[in-house]
Amino acid sequence: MNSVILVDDQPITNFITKKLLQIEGITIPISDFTNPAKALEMLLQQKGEDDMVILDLNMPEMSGWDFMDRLIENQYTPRIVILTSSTSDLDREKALDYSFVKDYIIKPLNQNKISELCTKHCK
Amino acid sequence: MQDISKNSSQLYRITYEAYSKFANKISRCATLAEVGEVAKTHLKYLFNFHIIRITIAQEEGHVFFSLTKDAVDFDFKGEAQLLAHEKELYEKEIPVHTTNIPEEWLERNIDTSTIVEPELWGWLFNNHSRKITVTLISDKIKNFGVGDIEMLKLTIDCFETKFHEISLARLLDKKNQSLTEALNLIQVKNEEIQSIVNNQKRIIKQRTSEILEKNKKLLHISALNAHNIREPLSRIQGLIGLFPHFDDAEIRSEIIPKIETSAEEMDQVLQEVILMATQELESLTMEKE
Repeated sequence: MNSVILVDDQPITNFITKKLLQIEGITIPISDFTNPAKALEMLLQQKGEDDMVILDLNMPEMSGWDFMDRLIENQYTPRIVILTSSTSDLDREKALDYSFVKDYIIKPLNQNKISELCTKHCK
Repeated sequence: MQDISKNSSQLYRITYEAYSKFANKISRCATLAEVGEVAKTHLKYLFNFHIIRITIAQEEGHVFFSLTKDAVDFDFKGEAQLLAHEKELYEKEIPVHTTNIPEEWLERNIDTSTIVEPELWGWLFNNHSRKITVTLISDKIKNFGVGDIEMLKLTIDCFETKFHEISLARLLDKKNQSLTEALNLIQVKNEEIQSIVNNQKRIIKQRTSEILEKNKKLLHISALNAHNIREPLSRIQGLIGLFPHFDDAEIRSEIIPKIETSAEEMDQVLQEVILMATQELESLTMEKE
């Protein structure tokens, strides 16, 4: 895996995730976006890189669903981990219908959840 | 040529043939007018008469059938006015033979200048417990005698059976008509009921759809609210989780301001939720009123 890309409209969430990843010992580049459109643009530019995207679902400009649909439209499906405050089973089921969604984590994010995530997808 | 009146067997055969024709044709009649036409043509071969009038007692009132050489008259509505001798016949059942004839009635039915010494004959017959009076006017030219009474009885039987049949057919027709009217009424009422049921169904469907729509909206609002509240709360929880990895100065400078921002956002979201809930409650109260 070459990099981790954080997409959440709340900069504080990105701050927490980034800190927890660093504490977990992740040394690869971590970039964060509060604007999903810009994250999408960057991802499509560097198509083919082995990236992991940690994606929020509920964002005002472009939802996590729209974000993933746009990736499919552009035939690029990097590993996605959903990080959301939604506890809805419907959202979980819908997210896991996307074949490139590898995990679904409900906020708040903490050290245990990050450790588990890294064990499964980063190492 | 042989005088037929002296050859009784030939006379019998002719009379029998005349009666057969009469009875046959009467049995084929479907209406009183048809009975009248057959009687006008055939009755004169069986016995002489100027007028023959039949009345039949009904449950309420009497019906009558009257025949002259040229005219047929009848009233089967049960509103016939009885002649004086007919009333007596119904009361006493004693046959009448008299020259005392109700003049007005006679003149109304035939040209009295053509008759000579008219006589009135009257009988009451009990056929199948139905009372029938027969009045016959004869005279010197169209003579009626006691010997003709047997033939008269046969023809009256024939008439009575046919009248009864026509009367039953009319009754059946009337009942059918009543049933048809009742059926039509039931159909109209059924259509009205169906229309009410359909209307109710439509209203129920509409109301159900409105309730479902409202429920959906409320569920959506509650899910959105829960999500919106959880979002800043989860940030606060996440920030608190970072405490062990920062020193006090870093916590005060980096973490606490972020907790404050998130707490303010949470307060804002909660105020919006309370406002929305109040508005929903007010709108529900107004609809109920």
